[in-house]
Amino acid sequence: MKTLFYRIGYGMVFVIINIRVGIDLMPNVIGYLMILSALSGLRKKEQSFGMGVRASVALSIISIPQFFRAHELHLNNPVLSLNVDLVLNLAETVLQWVLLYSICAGSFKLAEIRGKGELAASVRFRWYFYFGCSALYMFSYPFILNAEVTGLILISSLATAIAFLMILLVIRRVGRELAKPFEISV
Amino acid sequence: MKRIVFIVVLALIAGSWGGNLWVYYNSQLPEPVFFKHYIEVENSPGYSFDLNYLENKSAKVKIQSIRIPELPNATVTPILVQNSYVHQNQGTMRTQIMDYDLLQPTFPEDGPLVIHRVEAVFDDNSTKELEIGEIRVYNDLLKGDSPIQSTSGGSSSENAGYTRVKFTKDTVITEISSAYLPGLGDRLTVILEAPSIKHLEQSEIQFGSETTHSGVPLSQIPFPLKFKKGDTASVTYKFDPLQNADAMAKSEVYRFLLRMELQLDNGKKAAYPIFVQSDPYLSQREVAAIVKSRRSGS
Repeated sequence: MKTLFYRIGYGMVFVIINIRVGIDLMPNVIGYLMILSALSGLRKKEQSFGMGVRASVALSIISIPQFFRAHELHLNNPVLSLNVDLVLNLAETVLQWVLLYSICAGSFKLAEIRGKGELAASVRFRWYFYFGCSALYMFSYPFILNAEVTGLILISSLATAIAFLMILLVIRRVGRELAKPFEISV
Repeated sequence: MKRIVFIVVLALIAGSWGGNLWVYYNSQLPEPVFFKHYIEVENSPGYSFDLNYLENKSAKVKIQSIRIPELPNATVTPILVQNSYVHQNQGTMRTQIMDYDLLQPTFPEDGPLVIHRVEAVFDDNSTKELEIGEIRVYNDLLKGDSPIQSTSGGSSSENAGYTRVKFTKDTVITEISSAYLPGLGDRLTVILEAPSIKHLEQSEIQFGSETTHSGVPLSQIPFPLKFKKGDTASVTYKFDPLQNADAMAKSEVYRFLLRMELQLDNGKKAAYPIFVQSDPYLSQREVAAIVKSRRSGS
């Protein structure tokens, strides 16, 4: 089980780090496939991971074009129109919510079953923090078209990245803690 | 997390995107728009004027320069961002009359050369004729020896200015006029301070925070006015700030010449120009009103 959770962590590293030299040297598609493979194994232990399996399949597909061409939202060129890049970006964000929710919900339940309340609470807090930050980012981003909100967007974007890293670290911790044998207190 | 929370957050985000895109698209000008200008200029090297315009910040093609085919001896210096607003930039095309050696404009037999449109040149090399108001170019304003010497002058950001002059010969001012004075009505106050009209009722123009200029309003001056060599006079003007006017009226640019028509002792006639200038600074709300009016086609 530890290996599966660690695989999710490594997959998330591929997702969050972009080293672009023409193509992406840390392709998101590889990250999502690693997460997909890990969640497929974990689904057998907790069905909450099933939602993440479906989300990671969809994310693997829509992130293939990113391997060749970045489609991030740009702060310095806030000309938004309903084009393919924008739709892909919005879809990726929503699917990432589903994926991370599924990972966190499954981890939370497994930690609770094993009586690790503090670990479960930490997982839940980090999910709330990530969801809040990324929702704020997605809510505030279009205001760049009509108002000076660059500061708010930068802060929410940075907070989202930090929250993502926090989830990555707690998932590794879940893997470590759940790998330990049951401790029965008498 | 409860499904309802997720749905509410998604709805809020969708509303934010939809609402902002709607506001954004409704805040775009259909095409660049030049302010309405009222400009008088002498066809003489060094004379210049600014043509102001608004264009969308996100326009796919932007104005790079302008051409004024009627003024082949003019050079244009573009200032692409003079003022920046939320969705538009205000640019300025600084136009200067150059050397007499260059190809000269063709003037009509009677009256000045009048220009209503310029050719906007976009950064994809396309061009489009756009209305700019009116530029009147004179060819005969500075003919003859002027018996007047300017001694000082100034202008303020409140669209006011003054010119103080000294007479170098005995002279008679027969008239002070401009093509644009009748149309401006009460919007422009012009006063003349001169020794021979000191006894008439004086009006005052506040110039800056501390200086007050006094003189007789133009409509009450009993022309002709005689001046002796060594006399001084000053002309002061101020534009009404137009509190209640619409945004299009507030965006009007004036840079015209008050012509002092002069008659010398030897019977010769001359003219002396005094610059009158009003450059608007538009607020975001006024720019939005201009965009709304342009989008509605008025």
